[in-house]
Amino acid sequence: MTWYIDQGPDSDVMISSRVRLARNLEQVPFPHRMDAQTARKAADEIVKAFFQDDTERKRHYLLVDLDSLSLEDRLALAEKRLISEDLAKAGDGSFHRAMISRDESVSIMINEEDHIRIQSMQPGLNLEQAFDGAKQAASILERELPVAYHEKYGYLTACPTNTGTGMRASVMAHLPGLAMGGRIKDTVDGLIKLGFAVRGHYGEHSKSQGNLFQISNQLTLGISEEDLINDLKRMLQQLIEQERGVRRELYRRQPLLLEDRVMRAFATLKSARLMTHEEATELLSTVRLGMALGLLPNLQPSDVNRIYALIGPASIQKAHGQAMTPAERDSARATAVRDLLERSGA
Amino acid sequence: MLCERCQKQEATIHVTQTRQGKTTEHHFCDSCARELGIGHSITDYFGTIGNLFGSGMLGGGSAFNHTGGIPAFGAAVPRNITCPRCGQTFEQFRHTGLFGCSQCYTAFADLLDPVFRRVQGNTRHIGHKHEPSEAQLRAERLSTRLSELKHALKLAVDEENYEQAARLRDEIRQLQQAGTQPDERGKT
Ligand SMILES: [Zn+2]
Ligand SMILES: [Zn+2]
Repeated sequence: MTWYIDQGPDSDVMISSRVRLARNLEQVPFPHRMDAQTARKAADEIVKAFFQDDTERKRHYLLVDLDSLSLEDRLALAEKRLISEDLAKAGDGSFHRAMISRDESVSIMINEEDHIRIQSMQPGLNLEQAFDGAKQAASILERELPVAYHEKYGYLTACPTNTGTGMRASVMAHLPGLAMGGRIKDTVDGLIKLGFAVRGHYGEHSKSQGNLFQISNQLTLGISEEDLINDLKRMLQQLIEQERGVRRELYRRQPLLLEDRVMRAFATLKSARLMTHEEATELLSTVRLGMALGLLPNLQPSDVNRIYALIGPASIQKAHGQAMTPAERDSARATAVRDLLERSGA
Repeated sequence: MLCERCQKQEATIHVTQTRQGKTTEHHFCDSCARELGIGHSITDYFGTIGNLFGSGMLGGGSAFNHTGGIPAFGAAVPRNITCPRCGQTFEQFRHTGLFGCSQCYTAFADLLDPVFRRVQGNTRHIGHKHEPSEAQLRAERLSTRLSELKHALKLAVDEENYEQAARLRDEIRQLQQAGTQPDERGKT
């Protein structure tokens, strides 16, 4: 399933789930210490080990030579979250590759901070299935490659914060209720105290970025993959209930105000002729909230996710081919949003 | 909430650090996070966050100098330990927060438990185990066979059985040649 196309569990609050596994080759220096020749050899070896002569796998996965893509094309992949932004921004000639499944659920980055970074995404809250996807790809590679593993420290990674399982499980959560209700700071502080890492804007003077928060585990050593996922999931289920509760309460108290805000946001998305990325993200957040409250029955969470994934600066630029001014980009973005909404039948 | 490092910009990155069972919170803005080696995007943040703790917890970097919250390593850290495979020193590891290769873990082994206790609150992996790949099993068998042959060669020389010794030497050479092909890259 594709995070920005398909519908997942708890998608009124959870946009996507992702599991990432880091692996390295035993005999080769980590990417930050590789010369070009070593990097090329490592990349070739990993690609060969993954595809072998498996025609099915060759059909299912696309090999992308990131060095041969333009910066815009690479950033567009990052906006769809298929590769990391670091990898997208890294210069040419570093033998960066990605193997991306056709449904865009699994991608394997080569020569990022580690030799191999497998990431698996699912729509909504579905960490188990995301983990399964990553595990499958890892086991194909581990069967064929001399992977760096230590009896005591587990999977060896360039950075000690990944050592052990090499796993980072995360979700992208949409928390407009907690934000509007003034409870986002306490919530995030609470998550941090419990040992999770949170990425997103919050606080009194913060410019919101669509009330999106990425929440992940911090530790990778001394805890099993399954326990880690279960801990995260248990916490997230509570978070989802809190967010839903606040939304209901806000709507109960001021239904007209909320409806007005949602319908105005929707109308703007459907008719604006110029739109910055920031404004779009903000309006989509409000529309997403309205959808969850049942105010926009013809719209699905996946419709909004698709818009999120396709209106970043690089994606807009890429769709147009030639270089654009910011105003041209804002115009193209407004058009793209209108088209996508129309196509979703809303 | 303001960034704890510059005290100017909005903090967008929120993490805790566990050491000796105690957790502390940290909040950074995008640009400080970048300077500390944390990628600025949501997507890659989790991949590179390590550098923050890497330099901070090891006491060598500047990440936490202003907070004073992270104790530096004791004075008695030997600074000249070098990984025999990649040539990275422990000092460089302290500075960048990144290992140079998998062998660094063995080379710095005596110094790593405190590092992992600070970063991870733990020193031992209990998750999935890696099953050795075909290539790894082959390499293991090869190295066992080689040490057997070398032992036999030593015996043959001691017994002045030169015919036998020559035969063993040939076999060792052949095995070593066969073994270097998949292993070549290790020498770079
Ligand atoms: Zn700052
Ligand atoms: Zn090394």
